[in-house]
Amino acid sequence: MLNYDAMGGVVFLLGAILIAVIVVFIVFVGSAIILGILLHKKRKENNAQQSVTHTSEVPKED
Amino acid sequence: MTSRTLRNDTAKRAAGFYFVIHFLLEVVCFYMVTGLAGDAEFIGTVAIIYNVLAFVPQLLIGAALDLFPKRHFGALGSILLMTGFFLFFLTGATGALFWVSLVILCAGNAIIHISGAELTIRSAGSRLSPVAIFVSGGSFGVITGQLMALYNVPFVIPAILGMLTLPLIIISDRLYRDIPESSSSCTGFDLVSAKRAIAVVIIASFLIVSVRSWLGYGIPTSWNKTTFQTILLFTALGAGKAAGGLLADRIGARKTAFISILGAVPFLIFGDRIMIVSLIGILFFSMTMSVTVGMLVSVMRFAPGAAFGITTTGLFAGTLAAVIIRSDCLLANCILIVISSALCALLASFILKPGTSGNDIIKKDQGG
Repeated sequence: MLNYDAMGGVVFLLGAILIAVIVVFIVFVGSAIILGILLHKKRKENNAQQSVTHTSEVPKED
Repeated sequence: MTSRTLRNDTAKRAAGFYFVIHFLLEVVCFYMVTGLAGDAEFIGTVAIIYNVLAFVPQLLIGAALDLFPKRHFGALGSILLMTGFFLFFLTGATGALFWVSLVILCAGNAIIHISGAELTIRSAGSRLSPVAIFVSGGSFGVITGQLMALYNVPFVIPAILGMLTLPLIIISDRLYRDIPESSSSCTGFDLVSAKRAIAVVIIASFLIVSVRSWLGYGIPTSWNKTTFQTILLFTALGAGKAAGGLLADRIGARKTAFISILGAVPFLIFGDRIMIVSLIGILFFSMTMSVTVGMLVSVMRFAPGAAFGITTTGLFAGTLAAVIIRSDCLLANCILIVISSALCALLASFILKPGTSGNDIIKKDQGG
């Protein structure tokens, strides 16, 4: 099945290039999705921090 | 003891641990890959698969590990690495199991790289030297692994060396205790001009890494004829990577980038036949690595693993470009070195903020 001698070197080399293209595609799409999630999480954290700062800045009523 | 000084101490330990771990990891991988025998197509196929599976997935693995900053997967990487290594020596270089062993080995390799990057960057404060020292260990490992395979060192020696990675990773994971739990993102890195968009910095850094990786294959080194000279070449590569981080912490990333990119040019061009001149050029040339990592971490503090992964993907892109576009003409290579260095220097000057070094940021932080 995955025997190098039976399949011939050139076919194997082309297979490797195809695998490389697929891996690059999966990695780029997967990373973009995860980085999107991370960025969203970070923005939410920042917004929450900012709202806490704003609340603490409001002067207390006597 | 402030949290900063504590972290500086932690960063030194992290760099030391992962220098050794990276060295051992590359010994195992290059002992296996160099020991393979076969025709050009077979070696080419293995080279493509190894490069694509060890370098490119680091971006995805890095991003995935950034999602869980409190979980550490380095030990899993070590187990996978050694499983692939032992499977290879049980099955040999034929049949389906050889390719399975190669895939497992590469997965382990990628996970350990990202674990090292995560620890050395997260513990660094704003210094580049920890990640630079971690990366430099690889160059010494590559040449040691290659020599072990060429001199038919018994399989048991790299196997024992590889197995040492597991306890070292487990011990180094304890260093995370010194890093404040509240920081899911790394702090301190501020090397990039505030006006630059994240996408621009990512693309520019990727381009610089790719061009430097591609250029590495065209450096004229006709002096390199003996094993000893090859050892010196890899030593210069490793020492340069570490020196880049140390220098950036002292004089700033921008100055280091210029010294590295432009300072290397005359030495690389005129060092074709003179070993010492060429070695100085290669030392300067390798110093860019830590600066590009610093550029990326500065805009991706929330994802240091992915930032490191972008540089390794850039390295792969450069290797691929070297396979497609390669010249044996000395003059052509010299022209390429000059043009691409000028391009990289321009990009670095556009992105990097002047006058900030890691040490300055930490001093300022301690003063405040």
